[in-house]
Amino acid sequence: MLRATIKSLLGHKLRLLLTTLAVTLGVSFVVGSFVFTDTLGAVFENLFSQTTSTADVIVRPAGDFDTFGPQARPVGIPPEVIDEIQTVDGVEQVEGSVFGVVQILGADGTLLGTGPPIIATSWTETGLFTIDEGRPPEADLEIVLNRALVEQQGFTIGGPVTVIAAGFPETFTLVGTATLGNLGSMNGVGFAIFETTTAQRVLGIGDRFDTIQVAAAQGVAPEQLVERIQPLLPEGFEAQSAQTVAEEQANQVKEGLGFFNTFLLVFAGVALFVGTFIIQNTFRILIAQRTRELGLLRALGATSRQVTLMMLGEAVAVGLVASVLGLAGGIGLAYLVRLAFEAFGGQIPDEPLLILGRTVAAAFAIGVTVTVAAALLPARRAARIPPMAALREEEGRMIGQTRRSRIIIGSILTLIGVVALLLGLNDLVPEAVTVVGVGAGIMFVGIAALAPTFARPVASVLGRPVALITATSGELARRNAMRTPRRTATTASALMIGLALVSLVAILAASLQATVNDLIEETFTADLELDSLSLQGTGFDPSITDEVAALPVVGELTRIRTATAEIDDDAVTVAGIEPDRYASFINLEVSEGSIEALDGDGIALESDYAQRHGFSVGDPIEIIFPDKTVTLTVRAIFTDNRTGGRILIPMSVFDSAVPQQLDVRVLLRFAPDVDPATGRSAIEAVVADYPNVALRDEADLRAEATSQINTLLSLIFALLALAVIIALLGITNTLSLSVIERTREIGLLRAVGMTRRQVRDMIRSEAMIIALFGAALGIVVGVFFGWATVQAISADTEIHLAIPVGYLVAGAAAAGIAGVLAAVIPARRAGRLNVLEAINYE
Amino acid sequence: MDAASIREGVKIYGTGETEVRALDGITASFEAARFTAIMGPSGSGKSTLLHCLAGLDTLTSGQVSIGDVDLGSLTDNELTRLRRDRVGFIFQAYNLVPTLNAMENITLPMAIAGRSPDQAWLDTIIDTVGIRHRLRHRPAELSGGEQQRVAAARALASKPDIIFADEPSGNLDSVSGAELLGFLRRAVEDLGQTIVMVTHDPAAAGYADRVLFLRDGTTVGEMTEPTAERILDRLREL
Ligand SMILES: Nc1ncnc2c1ncn2[C@@H]1O[C@H](COP(=O)(O)OP(=O)(O)OP(=O)(O)O)[C@@H](O)[C@H]1O
Ligand SMILES: [Mg+2]
Repeated sequence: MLRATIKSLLGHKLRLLLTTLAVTLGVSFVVGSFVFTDTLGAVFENLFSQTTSTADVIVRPAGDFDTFGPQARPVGIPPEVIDEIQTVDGVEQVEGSVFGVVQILGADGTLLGTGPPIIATSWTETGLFTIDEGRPPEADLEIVLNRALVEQQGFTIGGPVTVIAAGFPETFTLVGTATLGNLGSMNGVGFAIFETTTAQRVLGIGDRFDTIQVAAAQGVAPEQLVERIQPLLPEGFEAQSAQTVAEEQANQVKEGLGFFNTFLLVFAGVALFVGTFIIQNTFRILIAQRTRELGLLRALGATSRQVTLMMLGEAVAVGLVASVLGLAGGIGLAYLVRLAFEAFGGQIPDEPLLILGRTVAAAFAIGVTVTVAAALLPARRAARIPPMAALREEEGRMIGQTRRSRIIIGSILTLIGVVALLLGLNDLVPEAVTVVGVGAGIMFVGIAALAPTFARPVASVLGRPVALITATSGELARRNAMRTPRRTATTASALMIGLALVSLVAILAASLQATVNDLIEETFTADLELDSLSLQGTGFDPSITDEVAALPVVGELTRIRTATAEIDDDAVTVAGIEPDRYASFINLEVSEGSIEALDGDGIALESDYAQRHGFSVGDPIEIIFPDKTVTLTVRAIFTDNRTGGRILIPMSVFDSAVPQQLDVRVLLRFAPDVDPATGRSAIEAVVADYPNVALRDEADLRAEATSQINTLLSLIFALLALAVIIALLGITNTLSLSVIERTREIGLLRAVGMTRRQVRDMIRSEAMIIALFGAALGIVVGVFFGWATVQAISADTEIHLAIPVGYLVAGAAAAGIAGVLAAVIPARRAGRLNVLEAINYE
Repeated sequence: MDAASIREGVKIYGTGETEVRALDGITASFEAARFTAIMGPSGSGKSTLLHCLAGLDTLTSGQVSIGDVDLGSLTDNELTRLRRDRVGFIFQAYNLVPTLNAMENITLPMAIAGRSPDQAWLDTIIDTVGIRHRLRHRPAELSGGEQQRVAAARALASKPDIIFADEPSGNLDSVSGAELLGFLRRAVEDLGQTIVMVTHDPAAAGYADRVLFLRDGTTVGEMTEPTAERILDRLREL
């Protein structure tokens, strides 16, 4: 039996390869994800163990703070703490560091640090960096940058570098370059290092520090020091051994990578899911074509069990081949991702790709399991072939019947899927995300089970326009698609999955876009806004706003400033506003109290936030700023948090509490009778000197939102493309097998005068019909997914459903064309058939 | 002028040890509006001759013409078009496209060419072969005899210059076979069709105007106004 299996496999190498490819791609994606994230993880682990080795104990704010994030600075550590630690027994050296982000002007005048951040820090002996060239910064207006940034921008040591410090462009002198461990730069992230006082000034932290590094004297264990230092610290700070901190940071990165990995694995899962459809279909067709051969085996005495085992044996072999190829493909993929990463400005140290045993095991487990699982049903069917089949003239037509059980099972599965999906989306069950995923999967299986029952009429309808284009070839293609509804339906179902997900994403994006557009239109009542280009909320110098305000074209104007503070042990962003003017620009939809009442000691809270923390109008709130703690009274609750911050305080309080006063946003209207274009160009003339200030009107905001959404969209589309490609391989596979099956028929058509081209047209048209069928199914399901998701999101944040009809139609058309491309190989084979051999083909 | 002719046709399959000369310098011609039967022992090259005449296969050397067209000078596409427009076929079996019904199979060559059929002519043919009541049926729903009659109707429908048939009655019982042959005979007599038919069956060959005898890839004689008995006698000599 084994010999028969192997012979049958080797006899059809191309068929084997095509079948394998569907699993191979999925396995490659899994392996690629693992290898890439494992390698990155190892790189970071190395990095953190190298970079913290000089300090033994780290003092830092207690709690969950991401050191480099925008919320990095709750309240700094007062400088006295350093002096106190200095006196502790066993302390060798104490240094304070500050961290934040800056922007610098690139060699060509563009602002750097608006995308990937440039992390600013103070130079310390015990810090993370090593000087690569030149020397550390020693005086004000000296800067050290990471080597990659210097090389990329062509800065020279001793030359000038413009830094947006404290909201204003300032010229610094580059005195050296630095490296962080063996890491050049991570995806464009840069480092700017200043002398401590300068760093504090640039980052507006006063005389405080973000962390303190302590070096232990000879023979003193870090844990001992931690115990001695902890009692000296003010509330809200903790001492930790450097090793613990390094481990924590590594874990944080690993967690981040874990998310990334999961994200990639989800797409791999989708790809494999699509792959099972292809494999199942392929096996089913192969068995149908071999009915006579299998019947003969049965007639010669093979038991039905042996036939099942033989089919499963083939599946295991296909799975093994797919796993090996997938493993190789995945390693190649990881390598490519790494190249792409570097092409986009990232630098990953030249460490070899890390291929863990777990990755190899996963490749084989997934490859074999998926293939065998997919082959299970067809194999059982093969076992039911009676010995009599060997004698029948007609090849086994086991396809095509639309049994009632199929409809029942399909409907039940679809229903279960829909219910699970809705429950999960609306958070009515535990593990909601998993339930949604599984629900969607079940729904796909259900629809795929139902699809053969309506494949005939649908193919008939979809085939009509195709037949209009390709005439008789198209008509024959239409008949062929209808003739094997099961085959057509399963092949189309594989494509359905990819298209449903693509449609879902397109609908979500369109809905988001429409919602954002409406929001901008509704809330943006200014003519223009000045925006600091920093993602981290570092603003620009108020004198720039003064300069703009002084222009005759400018009428009303209001400023918004932001700072990080602590409320209820949480780091929050607090916005300083000019209450009266703010209200004239932004409709906050105040539900309780009033914004005007803010003046003096009031605070306004967004309703969700207030609810979550149990604040209501009249309550006192303590806000801890780096330099000062203030207590304010809740004076207003508003529902609209979509434009400004969630926590608003009057500018007078803000300015008294925050040492560095920078405008983050400025809203303005033109003076009466000023032409918008004239007004804008007058303001542009002023702002041109300040690269850290951007000018935006409503259209700009909208365009920006669009481009952000589109960026996200293209990433997801690129990943979903994998699922679509596998489905297209399915079309290639199905049609290749169909061409073999219909060899004699094609020969006949050629004999009675069909040209090679017409034969190719026929196969391509059939592919197009299958693809259009898949696309139609996918879009219908995708619209349902989109509706359900938007509905679920709307329960929290109102967004309205927008269906991008043009986009979806274009998607269907693209699928049709892609289907034609998928048919290139089988069409060519069909066109090349020798007429006589085809006619005499057995 | 002859409807088709072959001059010094040689067809060699394989090379060296396995070389087979399926046609060995054969010369023959087929007059228009005549029914010619080709007979000979198995392996004598009958099918090969038919295929080469019909433009389904090419000669190793020699010349084949349909009407005044030299097939050797045609490209693959031109050959295909020639088959579509000027040649009709009836094979021994599997003549029909399973997804098309009888009527669609009959008009297939015209559909492929993008021409609309001559309705009056179609009616004549359909009535002649007697399958009007089966026109909407798929091949799977037709008997073997009906299938062959549909195939014959298809061969005639596009008014080809010549029809080639390779053992068209080979798979049929004697009654169905006789019906089909009678129909082919009428097509020649009433409609002026030219038919070349390969057959093993002396009775079938008896329907022809002329019988051409083949052996070892070349003609070894012919007989006009044949009858089954005379053919049997002749075959015994061969
Ligand atoms: N494709 C081919 N390759 C090799 N040899 C071939 C091929 N086709 C035919 N032959 C050989 O050519 C010779 C003539 O074959 P052909 O099919 O023309 O015979 P035939 O007279 O039609 O026989 P039958 O009465 O059995 O149908 C035979 O010896 C056959 O084996
Ligand atoms: Mg023959």
